[in-house]
Amino acid sequence: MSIDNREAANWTVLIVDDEPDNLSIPREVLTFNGAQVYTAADGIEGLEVLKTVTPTFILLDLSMPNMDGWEMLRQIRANPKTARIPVIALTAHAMSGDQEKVMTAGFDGYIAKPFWLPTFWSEIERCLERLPQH
Amino acid sequence: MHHLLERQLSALQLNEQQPPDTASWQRLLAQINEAYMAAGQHNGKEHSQQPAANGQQRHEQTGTSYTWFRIIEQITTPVILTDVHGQIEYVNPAFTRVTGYTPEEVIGKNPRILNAGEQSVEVYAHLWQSVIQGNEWRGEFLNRKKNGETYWALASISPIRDPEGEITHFLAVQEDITERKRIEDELRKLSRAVEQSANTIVITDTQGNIEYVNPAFTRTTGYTQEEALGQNPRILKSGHMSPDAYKELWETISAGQEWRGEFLNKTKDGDFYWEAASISPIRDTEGNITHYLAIKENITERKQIETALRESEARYRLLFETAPDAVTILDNRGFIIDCNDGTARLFGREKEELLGQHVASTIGPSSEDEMALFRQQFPKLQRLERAGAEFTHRRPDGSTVEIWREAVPLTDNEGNFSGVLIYDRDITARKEAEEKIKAYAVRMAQTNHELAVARKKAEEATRLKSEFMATMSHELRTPLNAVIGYGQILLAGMAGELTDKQRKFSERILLNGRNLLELINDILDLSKIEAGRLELVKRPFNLQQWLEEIVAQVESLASNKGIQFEVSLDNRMPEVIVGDPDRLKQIALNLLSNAVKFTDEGSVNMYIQRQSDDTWTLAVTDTGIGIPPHAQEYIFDEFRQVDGSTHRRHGGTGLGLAIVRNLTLMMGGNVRVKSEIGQGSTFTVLLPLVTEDELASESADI
Repeated sequence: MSIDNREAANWTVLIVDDEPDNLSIPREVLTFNGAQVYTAADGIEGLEVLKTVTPTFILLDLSMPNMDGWEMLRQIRANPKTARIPVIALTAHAMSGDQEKVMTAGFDGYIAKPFWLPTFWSEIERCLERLPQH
Repeated sequence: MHHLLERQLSALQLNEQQPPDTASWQRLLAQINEAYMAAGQHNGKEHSQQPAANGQQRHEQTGTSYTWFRIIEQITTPVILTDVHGQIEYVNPAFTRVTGYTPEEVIGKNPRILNAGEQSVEVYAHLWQSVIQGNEWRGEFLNRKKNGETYWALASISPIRDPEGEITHFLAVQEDITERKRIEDELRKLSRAVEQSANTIVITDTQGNIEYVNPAFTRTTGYTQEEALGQNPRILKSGHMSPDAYKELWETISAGQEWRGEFLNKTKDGDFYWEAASISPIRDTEGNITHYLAIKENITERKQIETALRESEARYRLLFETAPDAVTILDNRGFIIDCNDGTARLFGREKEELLGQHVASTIGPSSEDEMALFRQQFPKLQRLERAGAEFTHRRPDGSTVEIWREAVPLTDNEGNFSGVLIYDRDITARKEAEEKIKAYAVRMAQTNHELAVARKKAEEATRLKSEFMATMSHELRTPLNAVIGYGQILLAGMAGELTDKQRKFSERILLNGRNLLELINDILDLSKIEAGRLELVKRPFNLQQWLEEIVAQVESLASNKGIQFEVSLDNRMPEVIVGDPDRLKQIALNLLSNAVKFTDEGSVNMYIQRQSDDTWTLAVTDTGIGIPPHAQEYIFDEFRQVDGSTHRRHGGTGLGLAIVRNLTLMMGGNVRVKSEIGQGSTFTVLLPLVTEDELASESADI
């Protein structure tokens, strides 16, 4: 597993996180690898972005003001236009049981903060591989 | 013939002083008749035709006539002479004295003027029938005096004949028998009383021979009067009386005294019976004892009742005396009439001290409060209600006793309140037991409450701790994410090419970030350990390699602070041991990071030593500030260490020791600390030693 990803050039990614550093790190990593990245600071903003953009996948923080990740996921799934977009939780909730909780809620993937790049890429790829082929 | 009459009169002992009785009169009249008849033969009929009317003259005619006439005039017995038609011709002065009628008032009248009207006509008819035929008539009249008083007279009425035998007069002689009648009446009453008496009455002569017994005697003894008369009362002897009793009886009555006593006698049929007897002598007018009178009451039934009562009394007395409770009897004012030994024992006094004393002053409560309640009970008893009280009594010797008292009102035959029966029971032991139980209950309730509070506190602490852990985990990871994230970006060259120095520093940033992340994971482990969710792995690992990884992490920390750091590994330790290397590393790092943190100069050393075939130690020594003795006791205490405020004050370092202790215990070992203020500390972890071979055999066993 590498710290770079050549596939990323084909991706459009929405990153939703209220913490600027946490937003900045995956954006830096993804844009360096060629992905087109949109960002939002909370769920409401994120949903606004989704009105105009259909990303390859979404990296979604859980604890956020205004609308948290749990609620945003619910609304993504509730909207047929966005329902099929892979959503990966990128969260500092990394206690035992948190991953199970996330997966049960309907997320496609789970990345704990702080994350190691190899883990980051492999989880994204795992989620994208699960998508039906076009 | 006059000398004959006189001689006869004197033979009859008739004189003026002593009046003749009826029998003497009979004889006198017979003489008079004879004298008349003899005189008539001498002097002619006319003498006898009017003997009373002109008696004076006639008296003078013959000396003899005069004599008896004088006698008649002077005697105290009323004499009436009537003609054949019943008309009174003569009455003597005694008649006037007795009846109040003068001769003038009655001459020519019929003696019926004396009739009190109490007698039937037949009596008079019979009287006339009798005398007209020439027979003497005798009978009793109830007569009435001139003043209205009545008197009983025994009358003798005889016809008087002339020499030819013709009846010319009737002579009535009256004797006042009122007194006799009265005595007769009384005797009759007495006799009836004796006859009808329920008591046995026996009269004996002085020799003790029975002369009379009443019907009650027969009823009691079974002997008829015929059988009893002439017998001695000893026929009734039961043989159960002491001879002394009879002796005393005879001595008493012979001496003229009344004797009273009781006999156990025997009936004709052989049944025994008890008699209460009064035996007294009867004397004649001269005072000589002529008879003995015994009046005896059958007291068999009374005796039986007495015996039954005595037995009953004895039974109840025994019950009273031997009752386990204290039993006391009070009069209607509360004074002690009687009590048993139980009462004396219970109240620590002599029975004699209690008798006659008031209940409140001797066997009552000792406190004023209880006494007030106690006094309220008495009116209840007076209303014939039962009462009860519980109180403390102080004995004369100063000891106290708890009393349970039940009081029952007593009544007399009319149903009036007459006293109180008291039962007292010593309930000291029961009270003490009750107090103990009460105290236990209170203590138990307190303990339960404390336990509930403690449990709630513990639950709350656990909840807060978990919450705290989750928050801390999240909040620590977020900035760490930036450190590790940017570190990776820099090293990956995503922010441009790095100089060697930049690369080296970025690597240090990333390495420390990694250590910090591991620490955070440790913290999470602690909560897992506490929740019992942590599972230790058991795998072989190279001890030397494991040690180098630790040194790599700690070296920089130590050198940064300018302190020496050395590690020594006992060569008796196997190269490879079995255990959880990550958790063992966690133990070592925690101890080491603490040691470095609290040591400003000197050194931090770690020694791995074999202690025995199956134990080894991991010891971390520093030359730091040391730990005060009191803190050594709770330095491993997870609760205190995990406590939020403690945590913040010590900058999170306290958690390490709690993890050490918990992990050590999970591994079946222990951890101890030796420290002196200013001299540094030594933490020694003792662990079981498991080799590869042992693990293999363990697996084979499975």
